Amino acid sequence: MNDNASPLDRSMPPKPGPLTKVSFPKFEEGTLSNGLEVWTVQNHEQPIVSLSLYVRAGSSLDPRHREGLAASVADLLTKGTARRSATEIAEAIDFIGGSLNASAGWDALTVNISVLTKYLDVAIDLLSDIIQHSTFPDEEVERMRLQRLAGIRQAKADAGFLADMVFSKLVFAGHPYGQQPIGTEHSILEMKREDILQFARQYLTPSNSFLTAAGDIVPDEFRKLLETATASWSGPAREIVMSYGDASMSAHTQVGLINREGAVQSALRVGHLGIRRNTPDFLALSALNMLLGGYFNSRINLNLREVHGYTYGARSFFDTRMAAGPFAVSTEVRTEVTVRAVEEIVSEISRATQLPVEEDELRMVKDYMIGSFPLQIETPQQVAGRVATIVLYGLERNYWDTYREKLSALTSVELYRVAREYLHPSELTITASGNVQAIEAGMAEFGEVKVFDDEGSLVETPVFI
Amino acid sequence: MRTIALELPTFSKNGMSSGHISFEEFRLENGLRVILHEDHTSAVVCLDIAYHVGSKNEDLSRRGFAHLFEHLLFDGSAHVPRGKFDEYITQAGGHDNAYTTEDKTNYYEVLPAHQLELALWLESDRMLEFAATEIGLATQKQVVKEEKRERYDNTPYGSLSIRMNRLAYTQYPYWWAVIGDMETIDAATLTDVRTFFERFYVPENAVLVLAGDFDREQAGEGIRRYFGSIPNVVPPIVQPPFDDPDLSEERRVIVDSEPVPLPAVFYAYRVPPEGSREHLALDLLTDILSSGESSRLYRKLVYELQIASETASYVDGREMPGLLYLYAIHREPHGAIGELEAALQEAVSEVVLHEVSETELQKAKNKVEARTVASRVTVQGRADQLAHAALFYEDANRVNSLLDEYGSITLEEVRHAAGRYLKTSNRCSVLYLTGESIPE
Repeated sequence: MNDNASPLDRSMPPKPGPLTKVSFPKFEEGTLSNGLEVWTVQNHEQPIVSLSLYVRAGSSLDPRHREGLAASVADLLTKGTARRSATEIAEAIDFIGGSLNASAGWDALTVNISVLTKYLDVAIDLLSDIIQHSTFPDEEVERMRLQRLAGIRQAKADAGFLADMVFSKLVFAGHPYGQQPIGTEHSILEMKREDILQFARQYLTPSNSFLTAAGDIVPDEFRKLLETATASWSGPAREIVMSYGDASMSAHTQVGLINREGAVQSALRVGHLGIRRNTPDFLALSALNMLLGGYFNSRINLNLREVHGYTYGARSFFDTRMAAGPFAVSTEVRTEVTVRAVEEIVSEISRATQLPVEEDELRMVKDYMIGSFPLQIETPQQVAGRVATIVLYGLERNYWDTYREKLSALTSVELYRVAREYLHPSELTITASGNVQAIEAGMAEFGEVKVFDDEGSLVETPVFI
Repeated sequence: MRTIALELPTFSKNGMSSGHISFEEFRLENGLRVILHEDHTSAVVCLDIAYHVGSKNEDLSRRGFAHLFEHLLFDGSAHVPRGKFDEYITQAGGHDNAYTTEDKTNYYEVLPAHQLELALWLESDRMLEFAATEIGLATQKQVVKEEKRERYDNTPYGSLSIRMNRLAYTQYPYWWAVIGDMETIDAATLTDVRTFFERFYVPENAVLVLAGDFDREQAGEGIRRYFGSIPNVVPPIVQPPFDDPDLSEERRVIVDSEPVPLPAVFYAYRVPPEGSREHLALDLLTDILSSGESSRLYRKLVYELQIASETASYVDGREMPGLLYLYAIHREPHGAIGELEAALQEAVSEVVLHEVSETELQKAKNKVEARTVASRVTVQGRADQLAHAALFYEDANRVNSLLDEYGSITLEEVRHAAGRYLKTSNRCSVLYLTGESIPE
């Protein structure tokens, strides 16, 4: 705080106080006798514990024509074990006010359970029951099927979902990332209980999984409890070998449109193939993306929202995975400015590859990323999530300890290099879900236009010419 | 850049009971209420400021203005040029945001601890001498209208809150939605902006909360320095007294002109203001109805009958009588709406006629405990709750007595509230049909 004796000068922002030292909290690793790695983040400030089991098998392992398999397995894990029916599982977790859910990401299937410390025994009991004794009952498979079908239909009414779906299909044609992780109506109808059992048998093993525990626990005691509870969990030691590489870049700009009756807005996605999580250029690209569309003061958001008033918000991201995921700019704009918004986005991507970043702008991004780090590790669960990133993607163990130093060492030269290497303004995939009739002609200025239906199939005879 | 982190519940145990929040409070001479919650767990601070003004304070011809004004308040003040507010916060590594309800407008900044003074400077500057421009006003009108298109006009069931408010209130200024209308947003002038600012954005109409990693003495001094000289010039604001007549019969609308993927039934019942015992009882009742897969509505409509893809209930609590929402979305695009509504009504009458059990009530209380704790995981969550309690109840310590109050709600109170409020004559219904769905 500035000197109180001197008169207050409101004309300039106050100088920051002395920098608080922030270190990434300590975490421990242990391995159970069945091979399960257990990573613990101890924090007794608050009487609560959250456990996350990561199984290294996500939606990228969905077989062709079985899109949505990993997600279906996740749905069903909490729907019946040899000891408990789905209803009994729900009753057990609801009664203690806890939360239990399982979901599939691209690279891992996760089971999360969170309870007040006084109920830790219930959490361990439920979690170990689920991972060892899930039965995937027929009746529950059918329920899941109906729920997923309804979910897919509902998603198809969402403009953003449609734009994402066609974007993925075009950027990742023939690659697992081009598939729909929630499944398609066809794949969900065709899904057999045997597919689900097979997936769980193959991947849901201790040596293919790891667990993070965060909060009010004592690591030694916790591991002992877990050791006892999962004693009969076993499976072959295995190294999952990724059965797919990176997709390839499209050779030129392509445009995909999806019509939505009565739309007053277009959901826009503009981008191309991006990067792997473990690329050494990840940090430089994070900073580049931050500047381009990663935060409120980014070029794209300021341009589209503040300068032009085209949108409520626009952002860009590298969605990083085991293999190269997408780079995309994502926004919703009103129909009549759709083409102009795409022009602005393309021009911002181009500009990043043509001009080095000014020192001031770079400093702002670095200040933001370095300054916001304490906010991102405020809770033990956030810390555990970052530990999981290290484990899942095989990053260096001290990755987060050196994160702020590495960020502050980034230079404009380096950002310019990665911009030129990883941004491709002439090889974009542009998708828009909205009023096709109104935007089709204008969108043709960017590249060949294809029109898709809400299944992501090409519409042979475009409705509007 | 995705992390796999999950935000999960926690609370500070340096207090006495579950989720206790320690704080001290004082009032500046100009009327500004100040609450300090010192907590050194993380190197983070949050400045939260709540103004007792919302859409219910708007002029009839300026519906949506309170929210538009919220956007404008980020657009510059005497010493902070247009566009710089977010830039300063962001540059410091922080984030800021705001939200507007029918009853209040809340702003906050979360910053690394050493940047606390920046937040004091920014917030005090815009309370002292806000400076909107024509260009700023024009741009924010566009942004707000785009927000309306995105969240209300272009989203399935997005028109719900607009339609429901219009049905549920005929006189009281709850009858329009916070977002307002395109025309009334467009109608706003800089004179309106100035008048609204001078009327409502004054120290006496606000609560300031500082939460996180700071020294109480120093922070208190800083607040006096930055906010103490802001004049408080207007007579006290009187909130409009509630004058809307009770519903005497069901009010019902069938919507078949909006693109929705699945037919759906939405109910809203008029219920007592937030904070009353009846409100707490009804809040617990909505947990019994729909919180978790073992809840009544989920088990019956989704799990057993498999007629719904989604069902939920919650209380939209307000300073004046609010609404209890209850809804179910059909599983099939061509599903019969009548069948869904009958199932929903049956589940409701079971709660009203047959008794809610002691076990269900205990489960609901456990849920509320866990949820309360979860909402206090971050300094921002704690700051928001302190500000809310001080603004509406003149009692910041309500954050610490709330769980005990929930705990004291009896089965009799829940049954009584269910019987009194969940009746058809106290209900508004909005039914959405798909092109394929079979009408009633």
